Amino acid sequence: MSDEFYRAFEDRHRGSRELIKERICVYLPFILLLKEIYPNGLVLDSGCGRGEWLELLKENDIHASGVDLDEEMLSACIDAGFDVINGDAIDTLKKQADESLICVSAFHMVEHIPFDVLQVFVAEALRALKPGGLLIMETPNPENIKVATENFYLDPTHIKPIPSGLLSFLPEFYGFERTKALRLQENKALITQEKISLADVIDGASPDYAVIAQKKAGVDLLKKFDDVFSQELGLPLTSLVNKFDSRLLKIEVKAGQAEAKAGQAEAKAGQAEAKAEQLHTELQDVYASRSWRITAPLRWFIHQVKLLRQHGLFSRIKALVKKITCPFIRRAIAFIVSRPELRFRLVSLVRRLGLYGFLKSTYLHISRSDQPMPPSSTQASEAIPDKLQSLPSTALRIYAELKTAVEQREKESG
Amino acid sequence: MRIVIDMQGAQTESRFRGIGRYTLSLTKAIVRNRGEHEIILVLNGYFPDTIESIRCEFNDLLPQENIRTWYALGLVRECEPENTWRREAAELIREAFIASLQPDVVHITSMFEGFEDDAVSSIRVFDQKVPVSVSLYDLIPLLNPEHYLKPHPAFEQTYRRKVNYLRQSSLLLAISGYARQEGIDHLGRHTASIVNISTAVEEIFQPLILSPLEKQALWDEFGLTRPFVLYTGGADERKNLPRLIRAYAQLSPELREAHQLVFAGKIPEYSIRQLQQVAKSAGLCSGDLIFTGYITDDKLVKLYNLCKVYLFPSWHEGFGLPALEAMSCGAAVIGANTSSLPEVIGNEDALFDPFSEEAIALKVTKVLTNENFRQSLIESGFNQAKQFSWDRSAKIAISAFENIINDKNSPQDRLPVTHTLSNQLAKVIPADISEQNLVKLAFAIGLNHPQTGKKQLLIDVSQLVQTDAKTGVQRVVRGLLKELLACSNNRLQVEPVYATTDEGYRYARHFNSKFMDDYHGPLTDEPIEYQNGDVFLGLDLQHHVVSAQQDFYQQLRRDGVQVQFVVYDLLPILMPQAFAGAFPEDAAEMHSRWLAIVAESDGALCISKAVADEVGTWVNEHEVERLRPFNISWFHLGADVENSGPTRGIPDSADKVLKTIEENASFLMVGTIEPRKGHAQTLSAFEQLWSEGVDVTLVIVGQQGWVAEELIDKLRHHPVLGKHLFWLEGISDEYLEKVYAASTCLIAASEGEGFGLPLIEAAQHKLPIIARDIPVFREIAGEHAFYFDNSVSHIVLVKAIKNWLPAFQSNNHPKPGGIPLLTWERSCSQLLTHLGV
Repeated sequence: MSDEFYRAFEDRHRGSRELIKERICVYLPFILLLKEIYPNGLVLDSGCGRGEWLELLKENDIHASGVDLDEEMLSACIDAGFDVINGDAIDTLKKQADESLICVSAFHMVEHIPFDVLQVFVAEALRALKPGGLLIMETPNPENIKVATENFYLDPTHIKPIPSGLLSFLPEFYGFERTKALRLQENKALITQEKISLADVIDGASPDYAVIAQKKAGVDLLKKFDDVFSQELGLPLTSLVNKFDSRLLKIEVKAGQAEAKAGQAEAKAGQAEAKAEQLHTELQDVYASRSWRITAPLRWFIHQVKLLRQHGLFSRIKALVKKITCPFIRRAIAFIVSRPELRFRLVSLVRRLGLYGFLKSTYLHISRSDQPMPPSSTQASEAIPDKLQSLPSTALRIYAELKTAVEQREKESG
Repeated sequence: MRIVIDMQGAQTESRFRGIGRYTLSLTKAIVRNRGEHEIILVLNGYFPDTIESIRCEFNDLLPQENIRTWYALGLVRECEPENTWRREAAELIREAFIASLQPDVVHITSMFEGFEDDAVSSIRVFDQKVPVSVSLYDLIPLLNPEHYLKPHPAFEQTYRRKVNYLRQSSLLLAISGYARQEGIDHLGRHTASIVNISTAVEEIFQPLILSPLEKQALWDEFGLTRPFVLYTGGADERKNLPRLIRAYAQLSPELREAHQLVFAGKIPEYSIRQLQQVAKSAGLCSGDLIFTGYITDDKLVKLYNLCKVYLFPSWHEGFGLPALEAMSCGAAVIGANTSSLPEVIGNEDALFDPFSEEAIALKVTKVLTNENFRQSLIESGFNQAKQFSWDRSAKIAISAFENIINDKNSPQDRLPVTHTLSNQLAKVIPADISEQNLVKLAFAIGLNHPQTGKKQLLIDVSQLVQTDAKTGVQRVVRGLLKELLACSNNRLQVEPVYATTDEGYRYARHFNSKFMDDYHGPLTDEPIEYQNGDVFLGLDLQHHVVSAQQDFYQQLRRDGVQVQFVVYDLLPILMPQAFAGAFPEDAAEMHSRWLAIVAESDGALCISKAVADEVGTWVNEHEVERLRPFNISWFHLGADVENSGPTRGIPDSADKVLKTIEENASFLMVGTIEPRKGHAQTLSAFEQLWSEGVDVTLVIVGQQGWVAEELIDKLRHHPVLGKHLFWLEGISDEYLEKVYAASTCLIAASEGEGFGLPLIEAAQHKLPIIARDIPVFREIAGEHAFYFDNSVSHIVLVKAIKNWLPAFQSNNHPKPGGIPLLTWERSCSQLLTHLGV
């Protein structure tokens, strides 16, 4: 593959210089802390490409060198006056003296080299770093399904996706003190968004991630990095999947509620139909009667209608009275319960009885504790499922009915 | 008339007391005397331990389907104020459940439960129509509020609320005329709606003839040294015990020295100390009073029989059952002339004023010194006791029910009960109810009102759903399942179900759609729903799942679902050596654990009588916690291979092999090569025959099983392999059919089998059989096979073959034609008969 092709490809897919610089700002807090400790420390950027990171470092007054195989891309760096070498990143790293660098960085490089070379790279980085020095490796995140199945392979020089579990393990294995995986470049809006679509599940997880590894150093030095190492960034796939699942479940419940409402309506319609039919039959009876008796059934029918009206009215009044009094009685009971008067009465009673009351309660207590243990009813309630998924269909329908009824009540009361 | 009886009185702490006994005895009598009426007992699901014992009590009296369990959201005990909404919800749920049973009358055996336990009782909070009847024991707290209510304001509130329920009830069944009068006086009842049904004693309370040895044992146990005056019962205020002790102290010294005062039954430690203090102040010695502590009914009956006089000084009783018990045992009984006791004792001479120590002392003196008087008390008491019987009480109760039922043709509400219930519940459910609680609540209501429609036969296929292990068991499962699924009709729904070790049972709809070509049902594997009267059949053998679901099977049984398991064999338990090294776990232990769970269920369906006998023996030899009877039955397996989903395929080499088999006297063995199948013994026998120049061929069909390496090695390198010896490893059912057809005789040499399918298959091909003489082969083949002794010696088999050959040549060998052959369809219908489906 020609270098020109690759640069043209990079230009299309890696984004503008400014965009990239903005993205790599996330590493600055780490580097600035290092600079405090090693004011003249040197950073080696392996696979520096067009030099966005070198530029950012220079702007922050940090010494840095870059190395890249691609001469075409390096030309931009040379034009900008950066210190760059055209060569193999591993070879260059090998040439660095022990404990000579404060940071070794590799942005989108590790997915281009075979795994055994990557192992050498990590081991060499450890050797060349000063105590507390950092190894930064950024690479596409195969946790993002779109990245793992398609985007990763857009670059024909990519070898294979490296999951963060594997890339984090490498520095740990070679003896770095600690590692941190940061998920990067996701759509920030998705992090807080509750309504997650299937498309979001497929391509929403952070498309890149970086592993940052720190070499062993004194406790005081390491302590300065505790904050930056404890931050959590990015959007994991599991968070999207969970949100998606819970949304599905909510939809299911709503469907259940709708079904319950429909069932209710149907039953009511059925009742109305039955009533209509009954009236119809009664009418038919009237019509069917012989004409010489016509007055009698008519009278009877009118009487029936009257009765029906009376009965309806009566039961409506009854219902009304009940509706008014029931909550009143319930509230009254609650009121009495909450009144301290009862407690006061008890206290005064105990006082009046003196020791007797105390003995009585002791007696009750003893006689109770003497009895066999009551059957444990908590045991039975523990066996009851508390997750919607474990409800059989009838219980699910009842759940929807209850939820609707409680919501309805809340709506009416407030 | 459908009578629904709420049995919570026999479920709470009351089950240890009079109310629990009363509930059980009266209900049993009502059930016995029900005539044309239908009785349904309802139980609170929150007392799981009591459900099985109540089901057991009624096992021979009432179909199990008529015992129903309901659930609400716990806890609901009223002494804890945070339970209020759950209690109110539970009241609605309970009434809705009972309403869904469409009773003509509901009887509540005890209204005053639910303060310190999770019982629930209410009237007219949901159901406004059905008449409700309640047992009335007494109104002691209401009439003595200073003692029983004022010191306990929370209890008072509960009690008074429940007294109001009594007022709202349609009928009260009083346990005595006195209790009835209290109801009339203090509840404002019309006399017609409160009936004295009285009470009775259990049959064990009767006169006994006790040997001197038995008497002495009892005296020794309780420290009795002299004839005694007996009291039994509680020690609360109204029982009047301090006055009794002081009265006893007033007896003449001679009388006191000649007698002891015995308090039988459990009295709290504190009260005993208090009573001893009273005794001491009254001048009694320590040996004068005896407290037995808790005693069994059995011993109580003996004490009643042995006492010189039974003394009951309580000034307020609902009935006074101990007096009646004592009278039934032929004791001389004297008691207070207040509350219900005059009507129970029925003899004015036996009564005294309980508030007067002198009166008590006088009466006791009379009975202890005047033997004629004592005898007259015994006689009148024993005759009076005959007036009381549970059957009599039950008949009065039933006729009282008949008198209050409403017009039966009242139209039923067309809205489902659960709908109305949800709306009612919404009024008590707090707005901030947690999602979990709402789910639990819905689940509980779902249990009460399952919408499964038809009766279900739930068939456990937990192993088959995971993988078809293609073992003998799996072949049977497939064969039976296919037939069972075809049994669904408009009254029965057959559903394969499965569980895992972590998750509960679900419908195996996915599996079903693959298993049955014409499956048209739903495709989602929903959690199962079940109803009273369903049947659960453990068809598949999956030890781990059964272990994990152990509690669920008991839950099913509590909720009225019959649970039975198919038992294929007990071989890992009976022949552990044959399974050594076969499984990562100890096969014997694993199978025993499984069998123990099976033995807790309603029954074992064994695949042969031989296995059924073995299960019977095992159950007798092991302690299994169960109350209701365990039903061991057996059926035989089907033999029609084409109906058990046979495998197909015949290799090219088959023709030549089949030709050789056909042209020789070929003896066929079918089965996995593992120690118990007798391959080694048979091969040795044939080696002997070959060395003697007998022209016979041995055909072994079967895959290599466990611990058979040595034999396999021998087979593979045998000098006559391919000539007089064939080993056909892992051949298809189709090929096997042809081998059967080509062979001369089947050798069934296995030392232990659950059934022995090869015998059946041989019989289908009219292939004669030489079988080891073990019960299961005798059971299957009867007189239609040639048997050799159950011995490990190859000589036995050599002799058998040598004897069989001339018989065969002269056509005098046992013919397999008489072996009964079953199809899977017949096998399945045997199975269903045992399940009562």
